[in-house]
Amino acid sequence: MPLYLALICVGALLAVSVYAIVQRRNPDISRNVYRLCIALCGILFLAAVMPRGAHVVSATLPLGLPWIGMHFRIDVLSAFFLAVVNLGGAAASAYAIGYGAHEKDPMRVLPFYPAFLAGMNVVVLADDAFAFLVAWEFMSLASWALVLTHHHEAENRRAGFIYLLMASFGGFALLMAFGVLGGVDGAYDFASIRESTKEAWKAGLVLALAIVGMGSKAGLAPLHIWLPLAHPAAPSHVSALMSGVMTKVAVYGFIRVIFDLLGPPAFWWSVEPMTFGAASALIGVLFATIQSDLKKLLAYSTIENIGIIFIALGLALAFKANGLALPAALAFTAALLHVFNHSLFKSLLFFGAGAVLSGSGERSIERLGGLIHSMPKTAFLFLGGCVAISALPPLNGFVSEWLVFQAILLSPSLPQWTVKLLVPAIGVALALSAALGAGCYIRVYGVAFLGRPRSEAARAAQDPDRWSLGTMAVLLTLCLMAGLLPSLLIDTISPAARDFVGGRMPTQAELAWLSIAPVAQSRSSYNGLLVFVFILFSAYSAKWVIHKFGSSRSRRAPAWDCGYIETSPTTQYTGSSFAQPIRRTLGVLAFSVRERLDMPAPGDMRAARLSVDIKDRIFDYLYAPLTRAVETCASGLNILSLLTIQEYLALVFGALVFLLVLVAI
Amino acid sequence: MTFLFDLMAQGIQMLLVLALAPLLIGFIRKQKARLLRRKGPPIIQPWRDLIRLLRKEVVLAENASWLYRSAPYLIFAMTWVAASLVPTFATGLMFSWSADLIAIIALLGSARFFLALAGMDIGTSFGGIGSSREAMFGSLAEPATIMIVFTVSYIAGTTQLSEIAAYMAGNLGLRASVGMALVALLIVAIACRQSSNPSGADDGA
Repeated sequence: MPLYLALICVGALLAVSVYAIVQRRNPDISRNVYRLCIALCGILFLAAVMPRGAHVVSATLPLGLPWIGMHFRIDVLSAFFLAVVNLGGAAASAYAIGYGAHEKDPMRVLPFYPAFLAGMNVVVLADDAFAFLVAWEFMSLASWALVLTHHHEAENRRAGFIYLLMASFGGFALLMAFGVLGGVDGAYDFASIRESTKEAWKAGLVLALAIVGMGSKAGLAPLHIWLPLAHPAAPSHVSALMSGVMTKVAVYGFIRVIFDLLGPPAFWWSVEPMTFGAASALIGVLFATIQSDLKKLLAYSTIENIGIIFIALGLALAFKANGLALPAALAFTAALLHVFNHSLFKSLLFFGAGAVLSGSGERSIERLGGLIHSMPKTAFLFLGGCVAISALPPLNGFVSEWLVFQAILLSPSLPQWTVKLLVPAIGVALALSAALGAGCYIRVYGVAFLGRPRSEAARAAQDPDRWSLGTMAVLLTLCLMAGLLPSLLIDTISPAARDFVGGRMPTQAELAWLSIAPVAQSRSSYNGLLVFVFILFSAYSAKWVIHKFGSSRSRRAPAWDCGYIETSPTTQYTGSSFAQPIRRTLGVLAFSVRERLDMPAPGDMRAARLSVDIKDRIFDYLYAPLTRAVETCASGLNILSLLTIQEYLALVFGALVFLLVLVAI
Repeated sequence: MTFLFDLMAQGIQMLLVLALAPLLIGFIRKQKARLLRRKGPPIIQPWRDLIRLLRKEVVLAENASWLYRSAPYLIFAMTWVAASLVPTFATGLMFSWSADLIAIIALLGSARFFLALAGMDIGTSFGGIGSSREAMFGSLAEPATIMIVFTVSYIAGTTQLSEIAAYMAGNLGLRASVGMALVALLIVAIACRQSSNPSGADDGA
């Protein structure tokens, strides 16, 4: 029942796409499309959380390849990701009812938006390689069209091009991965893949291909280069979907292939996800710290969070391979919880960025400032998102990172020395990225929302409409709830952990005071609700005591800035000066920063100049040589287009002989 | 009856921490003065300063927002909650299980977060320098502290502070790793002390 309902809704989403094209002259089309999307995502969300009689529901539809059809299935994992996708989808649609009105050319968004949602849903529901890959490519292409919404800007066209390249490369890797999984007999439904035997070399190959294929979509370093270009290029509600939801669909694909289809893991499988995860976490957060484009910064921070999720998944693999069911369940739960949490606060932050963009027309934090006065409601909601993503208690980002740390602390029970030594190093990388992440969001919020406005646009900015604000408020409430009552979420995830890593965490709802204790209360426990109540109680009692026995008077005066304050807002600390210490200390390693100071001689009236040159080493050392190699090959093959007819015929004959020889052998 | 007793123990611990914290600063100032062969202010001087300051009115900059007004209370509350979850005078406190060592560090991180934001609120270059330094020191000190937690909890098998304390009390013995953790923690403490001093000049504490 839930599966058919979901499939009908997916069909309806595709119909909405067609409706958008047919009704393109209708002035209300934008609102109608988004309203329909909210309704359909809502139903899909219900289908995901609806109690299913059996654990697994499956169906075959006579679509696609003749006589084989397309297989669909909902199990606990698909249901979880279906809920994440559609919660994000519904939120983005609700936000877009207001935000979409700013779109100058709505027909560049409306037909593709429902199709994008439909594609993501089908990926999660697919139960054979064919359906999975078709839906995957459909999702990629729909999102590519959305990235090109503002195609008049050259930067966006470049983003679209690089995205298309990376997406086809990733899709190709996935095709190979499923090819290896299916084998020469070619049974491509997931049930037969699950049954088939996988030799060690096959498993290693599939693992590498899955990392490349899924990782390139999720934004795992070093395959992330398209992400900070493409996510910000799309309209903000689509950026939120791409960053908050589409990357999670890639995580789903990784879990499906590695934890489910590939069979029981070996311990060395964990090394790849963990090291790439740690690299992504660090690279993502360091680049986020030096960005001044608000949306680009959020995109880089997505790379960091995907890294954290992959670290947790790698840990789960290591524990599962050694039959340590409880730690494996802990790491797996942490990964899924972070998937859910990140989809909430990243959507919230992108919506906030969209509100800033539509309210002030500015994306660079260096031209913003003082938004807390001009857009007070957005400022409050964005602050909540910043606290959540910086993994600070009592909001939800902290809970999932805390669980990852708890899983890392269980690593001494692993028997293999390689993993045992690797995991603490990964833990340090995780702690460093978490702390840098908090610094990064202090910078964003401090420069863009606090201080004095740096431009007239920032001074005149206004809060967005009620739909946008309402959506952000709902997301922030969900973040708070997930942070205060994580036990409910953990218990919801635990069936998935049981099915995919063969263990489950102790039932959390039975613990007193709604606290969470991953292993045992004597080992570690956390209670967000109590911490929150304590903080509120202490803050209010401090306020009460001071106002009662001290003084409650306050007055306003000009600020002291080592002298009277210079009225020009350019004297404020800027985003790049805020990031300077981190750029100088860690940046030298990560992105070969070079600073050049051009100081005129005394008496010379020329202005001094400080220029900072930042290079992306991954681009220089990995992608630039690749591009050059492709170009060399292409220009080398160019002569093939200039042959005479005799030479072409000879070429065809030669190829035929070669193939016949190949067949004969 | 035990419930009431536990609640009282927790309350007394919170108040004791609150009462003693300014005295620590007084003690450090006294020692510094002694090293310079001065007499130094009495140890309770910070308390006197605090009481005098609390009686004065609050002076806000002209463009300060609500964040600036509420940040001091939030920072105080977060630090106080973190401090009161550390078993200073008694182990097995009533609410000690509501946050483990990692959560306590993160709570201090929250306080630091709001402190740095408050520094940026007015829009002066001086506040910005302080916030930037705070963020920089925080991003180095926090992982260092987490590494110390790793060391201790690998040995004790828990991140729960009262359990760690009980384990250490029961297994007295010298371990090189714990000694190094202590040194590391001292360095972190000194670094944090320095970061709260944006002018770089010695303010006497």
